[in-house]
Amino acid sequence: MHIERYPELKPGRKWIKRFYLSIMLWTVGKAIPVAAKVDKEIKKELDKLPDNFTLRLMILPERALGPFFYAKMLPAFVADKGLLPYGMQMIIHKDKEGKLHYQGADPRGKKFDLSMAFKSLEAAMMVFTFRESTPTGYAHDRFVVEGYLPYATAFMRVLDIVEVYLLPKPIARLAVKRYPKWSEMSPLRKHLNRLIIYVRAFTF
Amino acid sequence: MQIPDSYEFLLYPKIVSGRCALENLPTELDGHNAQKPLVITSQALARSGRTKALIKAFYDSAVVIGAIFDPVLDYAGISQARQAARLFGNRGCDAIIALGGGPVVALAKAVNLLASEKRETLQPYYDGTPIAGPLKPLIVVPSGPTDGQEATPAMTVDNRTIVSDSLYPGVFVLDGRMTSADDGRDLAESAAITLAQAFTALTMARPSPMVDALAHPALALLAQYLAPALRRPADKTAGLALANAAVMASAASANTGPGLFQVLAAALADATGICLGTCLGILLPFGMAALQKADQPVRDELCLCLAGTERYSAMAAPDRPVRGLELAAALARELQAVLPASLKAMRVQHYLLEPVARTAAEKGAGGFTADECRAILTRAWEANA
Amino acid sequence: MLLPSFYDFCCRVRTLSGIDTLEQIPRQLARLRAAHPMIVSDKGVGAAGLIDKVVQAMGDGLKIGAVYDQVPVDSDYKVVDDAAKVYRRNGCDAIIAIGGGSVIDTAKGINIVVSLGGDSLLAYEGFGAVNRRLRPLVVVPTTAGTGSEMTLVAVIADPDRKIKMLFPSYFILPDLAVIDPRMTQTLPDFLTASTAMDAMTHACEAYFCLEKNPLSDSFALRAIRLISQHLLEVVKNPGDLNGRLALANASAMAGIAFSNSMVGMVHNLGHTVGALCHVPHGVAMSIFLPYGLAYNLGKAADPIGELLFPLAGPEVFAATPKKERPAKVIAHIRRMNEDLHAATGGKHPRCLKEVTGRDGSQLVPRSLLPAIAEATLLDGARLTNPEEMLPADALPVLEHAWEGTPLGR
Repeated sequence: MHIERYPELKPGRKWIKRFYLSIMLWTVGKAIPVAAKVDKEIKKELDKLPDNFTLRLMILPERALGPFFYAKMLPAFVADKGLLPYGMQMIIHKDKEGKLHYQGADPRGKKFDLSMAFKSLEAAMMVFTFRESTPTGYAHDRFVVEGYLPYATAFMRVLDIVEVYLLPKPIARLAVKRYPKWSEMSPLRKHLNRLIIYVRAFTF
Repeated sequence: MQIPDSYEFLLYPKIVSGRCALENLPTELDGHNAQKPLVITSQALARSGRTKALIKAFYDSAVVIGAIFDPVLDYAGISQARQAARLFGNRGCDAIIALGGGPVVALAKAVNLLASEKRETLQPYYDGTPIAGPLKPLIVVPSGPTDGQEATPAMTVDNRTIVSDSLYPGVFVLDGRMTSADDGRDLAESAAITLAQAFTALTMARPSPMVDALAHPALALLAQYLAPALRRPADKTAGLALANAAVMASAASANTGPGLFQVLAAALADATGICLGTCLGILLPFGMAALQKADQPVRDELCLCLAGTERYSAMAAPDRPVRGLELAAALARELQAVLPASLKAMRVQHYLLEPVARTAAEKGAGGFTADECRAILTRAWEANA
Repeated sequence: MLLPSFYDFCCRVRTLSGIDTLEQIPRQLARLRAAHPMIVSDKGVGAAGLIDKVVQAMGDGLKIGAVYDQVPVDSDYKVVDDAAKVYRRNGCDAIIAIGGGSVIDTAKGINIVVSLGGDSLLAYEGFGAVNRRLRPLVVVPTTAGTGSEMTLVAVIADPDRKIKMLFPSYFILPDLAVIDPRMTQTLPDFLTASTAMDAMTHACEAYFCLEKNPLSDSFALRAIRLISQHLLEVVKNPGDLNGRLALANASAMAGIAFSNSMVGMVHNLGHTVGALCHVPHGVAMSIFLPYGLAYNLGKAADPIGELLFPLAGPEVFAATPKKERPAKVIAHIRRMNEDLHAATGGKHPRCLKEVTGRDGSQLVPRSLLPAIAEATLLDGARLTNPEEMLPADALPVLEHAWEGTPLGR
């Protein structure tokens, strides 16, 4: 038997999907701390998390996307600013005063209290292209939670509200179980907050 | 519903089915602490491009595919098993993925046995040596025709069978990209095997509620999706549903053992060299017709599975067993549209029927008589219901 | 039968069911290459004479390595670590768990520590930590309800951090579940009622929650049918071994179903009142089940309506138009609770205000309901419920459940 007939196969990369997902993660990561300031309900949910708490949403364990090779060389305090979407993780830190910070995609030297990890790139694509809502994704085991589950449910509730703010209604309806009714979130409040979140999250 | 005085039940393999199921492979391997699988598949599947989708499923993961061993034809033999086991050792693999059905899975089980136990031959196991320890993780990705043995603890290599709990595959990953059939004949043969296994599970003498629960979705899916699948074999939804049914029925048969149809068809296949699925496809309608005439009480469960709750409830209670048999027979007749109608059409010599009936009755160990077998065979020979 | 867009199913537990199955444990352990098991149980089970019964039935075929019967009602990791030491000291090679949910979960925890090494269970918290085959674990359930013998998660408390740790892994699944009606024969009537309704809830929720799949549906359907056929008779006639066997089978099948399809708001509410007010799990389940069904009618009316088939039988199912089925299902469950209440002489509570502690005091004060509603948000079962449930939605449900009035739409 010629062993060469059956070569070893190293896994390839899906660059476009990686790029899309890193932008999604970056957007959500930047939006959450701002939304927590604007929306009372998000604030209330995040208050349930203890102070000095680090959580991350992770798709693949590595830190920087290939094209952003320089991100690997940046010192931690620059990378932690999260100025650019360069990785497949989203790290949010709640400091001692209870303030939230988006800390980019660099897990170096951080200890995580809560990790939500998608099982694969395609699983993350299912959820982030809204073919499956967050609860359905959870039910289909698309991601696993490492850490205390109640914190994860609180965080998923935050994700739901943030999605309502960030996404137009037809898309957000796919992402959440029940789109908020008028009584829960008036259109005025929604559009105003949406504007504030977008402006403040992306004006650095 | 009666609970039997005692029963034993095991559904060993995990089933992962649906959208993006293939992409779960790296996680499943990781769950078993494995990083480097050896993929075993058949020439036909490799040529049809199915392996490409499999390779893509590992993109962006940490899993390196040790090798794709793809010379398998429709027969599992020891020499190929030995080659693959050597490949497994050379590349330092730690798990096996079987892409395919029937001989591919049998070969994968054999390779797993040789590689895990570090042996060159299966002879000691044929002689009754027990398998020592847990083997390496084996994941099956069904594709193409099945032989009904995939989800059981049995493997058949060089026409000899070894049964051991260690041989159960750990996981079945069913994905529409892999399970859609290439041609109607293969599909019908697989469906015949599935139907026979599920039917046996639901009509066996000592019913167990758990086996019923396992065979129920198999039959229900078969009843719902067989017709669309036969119309359009490439239909992904129907293909996936039938593959699900096949795994469930196979796992159910691991609990029930073979029934009349399987034993008879196996004996026939041995004697004539016709494949098992075709034999079953020819025998099933006549066998079921015989059961209908014999007026044997069948449990209501059969009707429930095939008709669904709505239609089942609408029937009068005493009619349900009979209607169940009718529905099963109707399903079997659907297969005949694709498969040969009679044994005569398959050029089986009439004189073979007698020894086949006798062999089957012997193997059936008292479950049925040679006369019953002969009656079914005779009818199937001349296609006389 | 609908094939969902995605599902997974795993229940690799060998099940032995029947009236003489305890005797087969030695043979089955030999198959698993073990001969020196440790028995894990609690004081109550021991006092009821069940441990002796098992030991007697197993006969001389087996040398018992140790008996650890100190498992408390709310087991924590310290108990696990303690028992693991006993296991090692006596050189055991397998575990036989005899008891209810707490005992079984503890035994799963012990199995992790003794199989993977180390001194403490704390090292193995979270996903992926348990990724190897464990030692043989045999489970003999003594309540027909929790279904823990079929679930792939162990829930064990950490009293220092005041949390419940989850240990989910396919390797935690027991190797063997032994269902013998002799084990549940002496269960008092009100416990029989609430544990069976616990199993009923597992099965119902498995049937209408988000992760339902053909296999879990099929197991759930049969479990519901068995419970609704046998429960009332067994409560009235505790010595009915066939009925006991049927209930124990139903419990195991409901366990298989919900372990693979997850549960919803009934468990969400039940976990929360359990944690805050110490309402027994089975009791909370039987009270909240009709409300969980009613609340989800908007999203899951079809599967809920189908439950009428196993609950009331094909004749009633056929006679009821499709639209009226869900309401009838809810009415049926409510009536079951009423019947059980009557049959147990009022010991089976129908609503939260009827739930009392050992000293007769009310366990759930009405004033606590808003706090309970707020806390429901933190439970994982919220996610797999078909309908979204926020604290503002949970409060009216709780108020109705407290009073025992049906939930209006």
